[in-house]
Amino acid sequence: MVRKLLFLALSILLFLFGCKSKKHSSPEGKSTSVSTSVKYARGFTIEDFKTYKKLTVLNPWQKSSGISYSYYLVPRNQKVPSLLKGKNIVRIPVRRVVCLSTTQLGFLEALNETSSLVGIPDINLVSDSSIIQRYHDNKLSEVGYAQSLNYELLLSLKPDLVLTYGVDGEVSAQLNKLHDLGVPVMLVGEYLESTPMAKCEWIKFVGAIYGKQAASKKWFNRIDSSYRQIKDEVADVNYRPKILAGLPWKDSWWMAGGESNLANLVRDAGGEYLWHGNTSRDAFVVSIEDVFMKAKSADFWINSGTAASIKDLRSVDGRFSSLPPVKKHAVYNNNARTSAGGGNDYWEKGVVRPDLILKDLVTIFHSDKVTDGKLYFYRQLN
Amino acid sequence: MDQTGPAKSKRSYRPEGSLFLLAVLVVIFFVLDLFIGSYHISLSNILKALFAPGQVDSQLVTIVRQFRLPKALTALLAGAALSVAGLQMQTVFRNPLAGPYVLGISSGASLGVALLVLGTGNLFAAGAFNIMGAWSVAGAAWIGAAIILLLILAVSARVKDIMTILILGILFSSATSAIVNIMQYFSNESMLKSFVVWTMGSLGSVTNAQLHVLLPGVLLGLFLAIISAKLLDAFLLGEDYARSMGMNVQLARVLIFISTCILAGSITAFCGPIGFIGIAVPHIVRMALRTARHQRLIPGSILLGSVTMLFSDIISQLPGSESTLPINSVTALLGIPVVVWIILRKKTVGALS
Repeated sequence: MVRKLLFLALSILLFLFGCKSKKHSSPEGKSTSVSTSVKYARGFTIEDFKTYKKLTVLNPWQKSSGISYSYYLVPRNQKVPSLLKGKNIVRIPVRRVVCLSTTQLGFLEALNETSSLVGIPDINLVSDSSIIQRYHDNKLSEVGYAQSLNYELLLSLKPDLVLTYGVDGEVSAQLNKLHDLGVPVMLVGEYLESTPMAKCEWIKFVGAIYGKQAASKKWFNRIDSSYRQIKDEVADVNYRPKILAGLPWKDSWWMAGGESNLANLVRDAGGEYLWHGNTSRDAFVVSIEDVFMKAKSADFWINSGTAASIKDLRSVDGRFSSLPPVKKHAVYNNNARTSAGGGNDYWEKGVVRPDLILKDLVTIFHSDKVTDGKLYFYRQLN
Repeated sequence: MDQTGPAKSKRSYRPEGSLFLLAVLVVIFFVLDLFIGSYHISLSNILKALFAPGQVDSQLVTIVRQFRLPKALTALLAGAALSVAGLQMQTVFRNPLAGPYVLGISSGASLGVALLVLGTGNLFAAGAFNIMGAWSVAGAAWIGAAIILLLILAVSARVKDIMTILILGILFSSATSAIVNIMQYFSNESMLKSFVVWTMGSLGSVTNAQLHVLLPGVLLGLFLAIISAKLLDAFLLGEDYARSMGMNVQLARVLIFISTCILAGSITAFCGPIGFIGIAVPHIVRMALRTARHQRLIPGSILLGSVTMLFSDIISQLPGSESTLPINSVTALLGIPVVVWIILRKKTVGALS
């Protein structure tokens, strides 16, 4: 109850502050801008000016508020307008890109731009075969993770642009360092969106840096209508199976919030997420006995983390054996498309094809609704 | 003939009364620990679930028998084992701040777990790497702890001076920590998270099947400690004195080290490294029982350690909320004030009686 009240108070505060228009000292002056429409995503805006585009990323890490970064995209064949002096300028289309998160790769794949990729964090996390091939052809280097990022190697790749992401404010140190080294860097915050289509919409953001706005819009609209079509099929089902998701660490279970991306997916697929009453977008810790009390009514268990079989689940915690989904083998994991190195396509292509994820879940929850009954990202554990 | 400490009182003081009181407290806190959890179950239903499972909802029986009972038993064992291990180390090294991990057992165990959790992604193709099962984590922790123990025993057989062993133990710990740090540095978020969660300690992930291994291990370690009570008494007066009494010091040391490693190693394997209990409890027991005799101190540490751990577990459940706290934070917040107080109160470091 207290948490609900707190959340309500916070929401009201956020709303009040959110309504206050921020006065940016923008270089645009009085020149007119057209905003590219953004349908679902809350994390970015695109404004089109005559000679350049302005991309703005809002609150790019968890629990950040009132923080925004703006980037000015200027075509390579044009001079940089004098009013943009001292701004974050990116010459587009970019030709050499480093992605510091594999979730950004899906956008490149969808836009047919994987040939611009010169750096990734770790080849083992990559699923796309064309990118893995590029790595074996030595066209692509591993630059490491957040804390072990190899700046010298990164610099030697001469990237036009580094795409990074922020888990927390720590990332600003990385941004400053790259800035000092003269490497243009952009924060991508698609992982903070709480609906699958909002994540997918970031293709417009990535499309802009390749000068492919039309193509990215087309992609988004196609997936959007496909997603809604699948969602409509199960919008008024009477039977909504109860869904457990995730895997605990020892005896604590980080449960996806009731307003998280996963909870929204489950709802759209005609299922009832066990923690649907929760109002958090982030994960929260639940004690394992609470999970068991709730999970005794579960029909399906999805996204079981590193568990690759029912036996694995039992080896994590023998007490899982008594849960109905384990008894009935109704456990489905999202790792059917995992590369030899362990890269999972769900986090890559799944970002730009949420309709396929949704179709999988509908196939699992309502086998009578979908015609072909094939799963793409998911597989049943046995 | 009681050897009482400097706080010798005029009245004759009998530790048996305190021990009995502690035993009563263990029972009370054990029942409380079964009763208090994030999901509310009435006391009568808990008793029914334990003794007449046919009369209550089967899910309640599962919660009580599969979750709360093993967790409370684990807390009991962990508290007893770590406190006795800590007591032994404080006595052998004659250092009031020694604890169950002073020999490097927890860093050895951490290295084992780090190799399993953080190493699999780098050493083998991640696709082939199997799940971090509860047994494999425990096994890795145990092997890591055992390797450090063998090193210490090898050193102990050659080195006469106990302080040298202490210094070598600290060096081994630092070396393993450095390796673990390097591995953490090169790990991705999810591996890092599972390792960090392991280091935070956990009582509730021990299942009944694992208790079948943990319980005999702890009992064996406690048995070894009890039979070496006399040897421990001799250590209090220094190794030279013990030698002059005709004691085989090196053999005694090995026996006590093995007991400590079985106790601390088993708990660390299944629950992760749980801090501060093993340092703080023996001091409180010495003061409460006003004796330096290990025949009294060992049962005292078993009982008070159990009470403290059960109490820590109750707090970590945050009664009435869905969330929990990591057990290590709770034991640290309870234990640190005691340790600080010991440091402030000790006029002479090393005098343990």
